[in-house]
This record gives sequence, C-alpha cells and structure tokens, in this order.
Amino acid sequence: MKPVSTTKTMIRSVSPRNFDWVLFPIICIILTIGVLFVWSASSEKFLFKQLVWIAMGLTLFFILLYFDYLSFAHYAYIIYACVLFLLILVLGMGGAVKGSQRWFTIGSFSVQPSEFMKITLVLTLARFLRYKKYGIGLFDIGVSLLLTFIPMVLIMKQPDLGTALVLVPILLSILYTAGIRLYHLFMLIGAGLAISPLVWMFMLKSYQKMRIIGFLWPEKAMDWGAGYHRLQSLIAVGSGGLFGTGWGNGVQNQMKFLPERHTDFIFAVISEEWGFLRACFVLFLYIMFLTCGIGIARSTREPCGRLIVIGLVTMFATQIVVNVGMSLGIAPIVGITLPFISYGGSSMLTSFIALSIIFNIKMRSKIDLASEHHYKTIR
Amino acid sequence: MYPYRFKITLIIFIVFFIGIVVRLFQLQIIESNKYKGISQNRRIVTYPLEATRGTIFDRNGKMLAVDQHTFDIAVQYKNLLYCYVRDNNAVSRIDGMKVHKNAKKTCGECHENQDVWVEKLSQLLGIPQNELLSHAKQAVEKVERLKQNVEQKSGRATRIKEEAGYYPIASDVTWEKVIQIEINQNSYSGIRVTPRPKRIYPQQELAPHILGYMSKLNEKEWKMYSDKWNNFILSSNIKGTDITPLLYDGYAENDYIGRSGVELEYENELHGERGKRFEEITYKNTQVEKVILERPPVSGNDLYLTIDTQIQAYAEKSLGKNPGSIIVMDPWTGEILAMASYPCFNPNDVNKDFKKLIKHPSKPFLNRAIQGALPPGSIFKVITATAALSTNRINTQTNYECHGYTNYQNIIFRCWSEYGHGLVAIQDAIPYSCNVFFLETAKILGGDSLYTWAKNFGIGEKTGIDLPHERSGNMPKMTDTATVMNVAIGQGALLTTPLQLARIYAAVANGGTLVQPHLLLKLTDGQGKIVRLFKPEKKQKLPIQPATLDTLRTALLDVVTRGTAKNTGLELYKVAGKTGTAETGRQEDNHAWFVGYAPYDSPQYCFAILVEHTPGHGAEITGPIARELMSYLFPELNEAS
Ligand SMILES: [Zn+2]
Repeated sequence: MKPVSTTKTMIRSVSPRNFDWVLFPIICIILTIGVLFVWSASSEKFLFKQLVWIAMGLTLFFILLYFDYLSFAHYAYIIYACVLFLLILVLGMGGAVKGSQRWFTIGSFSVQPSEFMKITLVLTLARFLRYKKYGIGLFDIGVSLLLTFIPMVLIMKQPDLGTALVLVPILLSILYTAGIRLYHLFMLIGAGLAISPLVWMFMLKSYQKMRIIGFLWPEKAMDWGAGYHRLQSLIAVGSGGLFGTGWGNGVQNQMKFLPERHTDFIFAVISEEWGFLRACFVLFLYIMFLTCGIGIARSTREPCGRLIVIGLVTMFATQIVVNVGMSLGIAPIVGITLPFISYGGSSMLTSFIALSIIFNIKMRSKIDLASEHHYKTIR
Repeated sequence: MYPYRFKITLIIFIVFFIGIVVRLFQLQIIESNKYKGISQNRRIVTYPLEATRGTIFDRNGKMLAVDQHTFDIAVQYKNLLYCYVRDNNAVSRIDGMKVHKNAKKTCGECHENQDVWVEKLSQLLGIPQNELLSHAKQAVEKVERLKQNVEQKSGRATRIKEEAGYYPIASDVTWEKVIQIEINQNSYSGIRVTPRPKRIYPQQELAPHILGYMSKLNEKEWKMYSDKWNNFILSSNIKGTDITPLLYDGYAENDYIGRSGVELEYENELHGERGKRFEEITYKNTQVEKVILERPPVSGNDLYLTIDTQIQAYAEKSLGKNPGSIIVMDPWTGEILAMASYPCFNPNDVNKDFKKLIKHPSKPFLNRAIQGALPPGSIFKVITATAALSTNRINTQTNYECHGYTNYQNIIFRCWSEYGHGLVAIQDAIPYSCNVFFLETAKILGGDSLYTWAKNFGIGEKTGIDLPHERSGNMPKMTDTATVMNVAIGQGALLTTPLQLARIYAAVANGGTLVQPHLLLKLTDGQGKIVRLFKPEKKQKLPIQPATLDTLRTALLDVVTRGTAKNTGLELYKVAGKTGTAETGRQEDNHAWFVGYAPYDSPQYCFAILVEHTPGHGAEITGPIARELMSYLFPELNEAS
C-alpha cells in the first residue's frame, strides 16, 4: 500500500496525454457550426454574446478540470440541497420571464437553477449508487426516485416541462448502468406510464397540456402558438431539401417566420440552409460525441465516475433527441436547447460544466482504484 | 458489473438517431416539394379568416357602429374554367383547356355537372346568368394570364396555386340565402361561402363627424402598411413563446381602414386580428386534404364613447340646418356628451357618394367643433376680464365711460351700441358686452398678461381630444396696444375652435380647472373585460381667485337675465353664458356664438353653440337654438313656461 501523500499527488495531477483529443475537436466543430447558425438566425449582437458565452464556458471547462471530480461527488449531497433550495427560492420570488419563473437575478446575471439541477442530480445519484456492486435493492430504487422526483416537481411547477422531463432518462440510465434488475426496471417504467395520467391531471398547466395535445393531434390544437411553431419549423426543414438553401439564405429563417430560431429551433435553420446531407453530418457529430462519452464511461473503472459519465451523456442525448425531434415535428414543443449550438448562456455554461466533468473523469480514469485515499475522499 | 449495458445504452441512442434521420429524410427528400410550395400533388395553402371590427357604443350601450356579417359566394376555379371554355370554345387558346379536356375523359366524377352552379346560383340569388358568367370570365382570364407567365418562365406545363382557389362571384349575400347553400351543400358543390364583415352605422346620420367613416386601403397605402409590417418583423427579435406579433398579419389588400373620427383615432384598437387557416390541398381533384392549422381571428376591442345618443340627437335637432356646431360637455370631467356639426353626411353612404361629398362646397366632412377655427368675438371677453382682474389692473369698482366708441392713436374702435352704454363696470360690461370697457381695459392690461392668460386657458393649443385632425387655432403675439385692444374683444388674428371655448367656460363653471375633453369612456375586449379606461393626460388647475370666479359667474348669469341674451327664455333653464358675434369683415356675414353652462348654481352641462356665416348677430341667432337645446336637456323645467 502506497503512502497517502503519494497517492494524493498522483490523483491531483492531470496528464494532458489523457485529455480526450478525439472528443474535443468534435465539440469544437459543433461549436463552430452553432456560432455560424446563431449568426445566420439572429444578428451580430447575438453572435457576439454567444462568443462571450463560449469563451466563459471554455474557461470554466479548463478551470474545473483542475479539481478532482471526486471532490464534486464528495459534496454532491450538499450541492443537491443548495440547488434544491434555490429552486424553491425561484418558485417563491423568481422574476417572471415569459410567464414562468425559471430565472432569478443576482446582480446582472440571470441564474437558472433548473439547468444546474440536471448535473447536480447526476452527481447525487452517482454518489448514492456508486458501490451497489451486488445489485440494487428496492430501497435504493426508492431513494433514487425520491431524489429525482423532488426537483422534478419543483421544476415542473416553474413551469419548465422540458428540463423536468430530461431528469427521467438520467435516472433510468444511471439505475440501468448501476445494475438494476431488469424486471425492476420494467416495473418502474410500467408504473411511470401508469401514473402519467395523474401527472397530466394535477401537475401540468393548461398551456403545457395544450402543447402536448398540439403535438399529438395538431389539427385539434387550441394552442395556435405551438401548432404554428411546429408548422413553420416543418416548412423550414422541408424547404431545405437535399442541399439546403445556403447559409444565410433560408426563407423561413431570414423572413423570421420561424419563432425562436436561434434558440430552440436552431436545428430547423440548419436543416433549411444546409439541407439533408449536412444536417445528417451534424447529427453524425453528435452521435460521435455520445459514442465517445459512452466509451469513456466504459473505460472508467471507478464506479462513481462511470455513473456520472453515463448520466451526463444521457442528459446530452435526451436534449439532442428531443430538441431535434421538436424541429422535425416528432416531439412536443417543450423548450429544450440543442447542446453547444443553441444560443443562450445558461445552456452553454451547463453544457461546458457537464463536458468538463466527463473530461475530468476520463483524465483521472487510470488512478489506482485500490488506493486507500479513494475511500477516504469519498466517505 | 454489466459492460453490455453500455452497449445497449448506446444502441438505444442510435435507434433514436436513426428515427430522426428517417424523419429528416421524409421531410427533406420525400415531402420537400410540398413544403417548398412547388409540388404538383400537394401543397399547403393559407386562407385569411376575417376578424370582426370592434363595435362602437355610446355611454349607455347604444350601438353606433357595428360590423354586420354579409357573405361572399365564391366558386371553385375548375367550375369557372369549365363554363369559360364552354362559352368561348372556338376562340379560346388557353393551354389549361387541354388539360381539362383530357381530364374529363378519365375523371368523370369530379368534372360532372360543372356548369350547374350558374343556373343554381342565378336562381337562388336572383342574378342573371350572364352577369355571374362575366365575373367568372374576369377571374379565369386573370388566372390564365398568370399561368401563362409562369409556364413561359419555367418552360413547361405547370399548375399554379391559383388554380386551386375559389373566386368571388357574388357579394353582400344575405343570411337566408347562405343558409340555403349550407343546408344543401351537396347540390352546391364547389361553392364556398365566406363571411365578410361590413361596417354599419345603425343611427344613420347621427354623429358622423365623431364616428368617422371607413374606406378601402389603396394600393400605395397597403404597400406602406405591409412594408412597415415587414420592417417590424425584421427588426424585432421575438423571444420566448410570445409570438403574438408574428401571428398578426397587419393589413391585407382591400382592407377597410378608419379614415376619420374615432374609427381612425382608435383604428388599432378596433381593427382586431385576422385569423389564418393552413390547408393542405391535393391537386388531383383540388380537394382540401386536411386543415393543418387554424388560428381563429381575434375581434377588435369594443369602444364605448362618452356620447349620449339622446343628447347628440337633441343637439343635432337644435342646430338644424344652420352651418355650425354644438358641443355639450360635462364641465367637471371633460366628457363630450354631444358634438354636432352641420353640414353632415351619412357614414353608411360615404363609399357610394365619396366623390360627391369630398368636392361639395359646404365641406360636409369638416367637423366644425374642432376643425373650424374662427374669431371668438365677445366670447373671449371672459379671458380679458380674468386677466385684468387677476393682475389687479381693474377691480369690481373700475368704471369706464362708453360713448359708443373709443380711440387709440387716431384709430377708432367702436362699441356695438352706437349710442354707448354710459358708465360701465365689469358687472355690466360682460352682460351688455360693452366693447369700450374691454378696449380701455386692454390699454392698461398690456399684451403680455393677456397672452399669458389666453395660453393658460388653452387658446392657440389643441385641447388633445381623442379625434384626429384637431385644429389649434391661433393666439397672436401682441406687440402694440392697438393689436391688444383688438384681441381683447375677440377680433384680429385670434382664432379659436368651439371646443376650446367650451372648455374655457367649463373652467369658469367648475371652479377654475381646465379639463381634458374626451370621447373615450372605455375599451372592452370580446368578453366585456375593460382593456382601457380614459386617463386624463392634462387637467390643470388655473390660478384664478375665487372672488374673480364669483364676479364672472354673476356676470354670465346676468347676460341671460338682463344682458345680451335677455328675453330668449334661457333664464328659465338657469343658463349662464356669453353671446358673441364675430365679424368676418363682410357686410351681413357674421359668426354667431353662444357659450355657457347650466344650471348656473350647480353646472351639469357646458355647451358651445356656433352658427357660421349668418347675417344675424349673437343672441338673435343662437338664443333660440340654445333655448331649444335647453328645453331638451331640462324637460322638467319646460312645464313652467
Ligand atoms: Zn359700450
């Protein structure tokens, strides 16, 4: 057994050799495409702001690499409690932005705790389920459900349906990777489907219901806004054809028929102006990103780390699938951003924090699991 | 642990991505033409859904202007084309014909009985067949020209979106006939009924200058509006789910727009928002496949005016055929209860008679109550008196001797009584309207304080009433005493509108507050919820001493009891006011005024009566009009007479 001090230095040191040189360029290409289309869909003003957000995100990304992810995990419960408190605070006193209370302002910064809840939940669940090598019992499932549903209810109340729904796949994927028995998993999914009518009746605000109805039966939609979003997005995507209308030439985009072009519906702009082939290229970049992410999870032997990676990758995957699905009219319009592409500070920073943690884990994945220190840090 | 579970997670992700790519392929490759709008089979078309313009009510909820639903009957293009080809067979060189002739052989089902509509509609509507067919001819020729252009450009036979449309054949069709069509939809196939709102003014010629009228946007205006709209869209960065501005289409060609009165002033509130229907149509049989999306139209807000229809009718009746105007206002709030102006027009007939009306020498569109700026004559003396009393240049003891004239530097100013009024103080100068008293006062008053006080009372400035094209009149700068003297008796370059004068006398009546005259009572939405109430922008308390006000009020009452308006019978109705005659410089051509309020002890109405270009003088012309108006306003006092 090595002396503690040596282990410590070993853990603390980060080798650039372990930096993921495949994943990072992919992210850079995605960011570049994002910047191009935020520019095309809005204006120089937004472009500049987006560049500032990216610069801030990258800085945060590298700063966070310095700290051991296990220390994040160490404080997971405390962070969880803090973010939960912030969520309650937002519900109580948050400034109303477009009729919902997702934000509150500290100085000149708008903070959106629900965004940070996604990462916090991943850390917390990973921390809780990290050493369940011999299977996950009903008690563990129960606690995990509780840990997920408390913030979910609060976020839904804000109301931010999109972010709340992202928490569900995160929970499922972490439970799955942590070793839940399959019949437990299916029972869980079955129970979830069974109680969803209750959620529908008591949890959702009427406009959220309308959006879902608008998605399922567009012609019956009472919420003209959602139907209009969907139709304009479909027209934009459809007009793109095989080769697209060319960057900066999208009729739907440039004539501003398409609402929320630079945020939630940016994929429709990409599809219109770049066409089918290059839209597929963007999707390909994303699937590469996810594959790399899962690769990192697989090669991480430290259990807490692998659960964190799988949770974060699922978070990204859900956002990508739902956001693109929204643009293509196959997912309800719930307000989810496309990671690294959509305009927006909160979303960009959250994505970079999550990415930083994934890199962090990859760079520390070669540490000696048997080390005494490890247990000390965690416990 | 479960290493394969990572693989399965990745596989689940990939399955979702494949689903996305498949959907992307479907939208961008298979259905692309539908969305690009160049498909031969299917296309998305949009129809506007007309919004109802807000109703205008008086203060008691009586309807003054309302949208009535009339109906347009439109016929499907293929049916029109069929008849056109049938009637012009030999000479027609239309390419589209060929297509249809071929189609007829293969598709008897939808090309059957294509000329039945002419007979049926002719019977139902009572319009001769050839008239219907001439409408059809126009539509067909327009579309075919368009089609030829498109085909020339693309170099191949193509179908254009217009071929799937419906074209109006008859308009202003009544409910009863429309019901017939709706009930027997099968026998009227290919015929579409679209409601079209038509503005109706149920009170006919009542208050046309207040209500205003509407007319079609011309091409230039429509272009201006749509440019404005496009610029707005391009410059706005719409955030979040609030896309209301995006949905609002602004104006369309052939839209009606308010041109004057409150129809213009509250155009944005009344207009409402046109709805939109997106339909997917199939070209094979030009049938509507499905309605993709429909945004219902939003009606405009209802407008409640401060006008009292009853009082307005009285005012118009009292004014009769005299060119001029009558204003009845609440002296405490500035609410306009009636505003009559003659000559007038019937807003229902404006579009029919527009050319005649606009050219008519009597200018029927002119709202004389706010757009006629005339010299106020003796009405202005109240301001001269207030200025002189407030600056202590005169008091109630100050006397001047009237010999029928006075002079200043060899200029002779006459009093209207050539014999003179003798020794007069302010208490007699107002009732007898003695010019000499005010001319002498003007000499010692000076131009500056008169100017200040006239401005205090709002002379030379718009009152800010919620009507378009208000005139501000003119308050001249006075440099020499002769000008001051002229202005002091309401002559010279001084110009005022009746509304300005009514407001001044309202201030005397209510204790020195200059109210904001207005017509808006409230705006309510479709559910009757109040959207906006009238909020006074300016309501200023004038620095008038209570003693000065008392003096003025007593004097104004004396005008009726023993002064220039004696023996007009107005005493009965407790009227206080001032008569005035403004000279135009021509013989036998004056403007006769009467401005005042009633009852004098607790003012309820403030009024201004003006008869323009009359040979008579002040009270002899306006007295009987005022008496008639008062007899309507205070019927309970009529008994005594
Ligand atoms: Zn005199």
